[in-house]
Amino acid sequence: MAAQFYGNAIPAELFDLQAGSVWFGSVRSSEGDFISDATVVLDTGFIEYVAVTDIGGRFRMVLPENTVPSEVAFSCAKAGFSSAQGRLRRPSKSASTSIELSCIVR
Amino acid sequence: MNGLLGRRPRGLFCKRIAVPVAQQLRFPLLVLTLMTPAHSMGAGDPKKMPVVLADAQIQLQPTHVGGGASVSLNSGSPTLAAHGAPLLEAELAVLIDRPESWSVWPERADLFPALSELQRRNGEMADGMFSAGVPLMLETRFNPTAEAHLRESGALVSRSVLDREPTPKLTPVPPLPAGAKVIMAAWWPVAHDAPSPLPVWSAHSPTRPSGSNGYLNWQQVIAINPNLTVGVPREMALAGRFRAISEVAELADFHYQQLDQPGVVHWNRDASAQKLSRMVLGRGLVAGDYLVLVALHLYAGSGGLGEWGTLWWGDARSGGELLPVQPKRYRYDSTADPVLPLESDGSPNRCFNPWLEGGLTDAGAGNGLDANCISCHQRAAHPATNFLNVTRGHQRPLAETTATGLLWTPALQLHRLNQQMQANSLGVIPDR
Repeated sequence: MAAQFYGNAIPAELFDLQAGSVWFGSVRSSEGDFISDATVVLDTGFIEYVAVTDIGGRFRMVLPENTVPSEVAFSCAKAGFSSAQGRLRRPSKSASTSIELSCIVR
Repeated sequence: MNGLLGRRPRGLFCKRIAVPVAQQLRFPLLVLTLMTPAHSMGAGDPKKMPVVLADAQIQLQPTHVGGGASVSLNSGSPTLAAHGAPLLEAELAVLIDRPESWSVWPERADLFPALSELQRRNGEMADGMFSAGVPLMLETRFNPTAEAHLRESGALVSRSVLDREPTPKLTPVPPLPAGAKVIMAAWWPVAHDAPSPLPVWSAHSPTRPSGSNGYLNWQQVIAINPNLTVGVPREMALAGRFRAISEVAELADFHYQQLDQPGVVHWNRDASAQKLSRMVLGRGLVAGDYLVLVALHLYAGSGGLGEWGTLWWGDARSGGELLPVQPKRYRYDSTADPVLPLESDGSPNRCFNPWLEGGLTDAGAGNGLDANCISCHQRAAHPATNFLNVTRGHQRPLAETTATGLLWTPALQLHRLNQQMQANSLGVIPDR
């Protein structure tokens, strides 16, 4: 399954998503293997955005433009593993997007 | 392997109801119907509709649930009693007790093929339709009376019509007549060879007062174990988190179907189904996996506003009323009016399904827990507007739009067909 599943904030067919906060990243095992079909959740405290990693273990989501990265809680998990930890890498200087999330499942 | 649809009474062998392969192939792919669809509203005959709409009193009285409060929101049987609609309970019971009776109704993909075609081509677009990309496996079905009504009212606009007239004038669609029924069922995947997690709604747990209260946030998670020889771990991965398991259920606690290969192929055309199976099972669907029924909406026509019932799987903590049919794990609520009977705080009537509306956020009038299904569907019209603004109280379509009879599906059908044609003109989507 090569398709990637996006977790866009707004139904794309009803609204023009011209601008947004891009979140992307990967899920890997502790051995470094990229994990497909893992779930990544970004929780703003108001709503969750959910993506599933593609066959290469990557994901990409577009959140509303006004999303504040420091207010977003993230998590990831995959059946067959028992724990996970992640790390955010924000853009340098004044840019607010894109934000990279690296997740490792064990 | 034949498709199976049925339930197994406790302690007995599985009651399997054979469903012809042809029907299995039609097992839906619905994502889009989601908050839209399967219902209609009432306003009398079409000629009177504009008058009725003009007279409709907007009585929007948003009330917010206190932040983090312990609440029980679905009013349950008082609504039924107040409207003298005990038949709705019987309707829901029949749908649960004899799922084969509705499995033969045409599904939305049959009536609105272009909508489904576009969805298949652009599956990822449908992904964001529900709770910001939090999926469910949905199917909407129309009984023959409802189908005939939609055909006669011109709601089923074909692609060829749009080719001739890109912006066809849609005449107002009358509300569904008595005897017409539309349902929307929500399924949850269960692995055939391992326990699978399932979140369970608790009406008494803290909720976000304005944000999403979709299943990702529900505090209780159980495991469904179809194979009793396999142990259930204390924690399981569910949708991006590792969750403690509070209870183990059997398939017999649900109405369920077992997927055969055509069923897997069918569901795999649905982006939401693909996504949900990965969020729950950590993989795609395979033949032999199960789908358990976790929620179901019913809209029963009356020529007016109709009667709306909704049920969800749960326990005593899950609110609503217990549906008196086996397995006794389904709770329900119903409504026949967007306002009455008033809630105990004097606000308009509330009737929502935690699976289907719980994930909706506040758009200015309360979130999905402050919703009445009729209110949302009263706004159904072409051109399609944002149906996500759930609320309570009487609503009406925007000015200069054409009411689609409380049904969002016809409105979205036209919207998508128009969009498809625009995309075709740009060469984005090849025409077939």
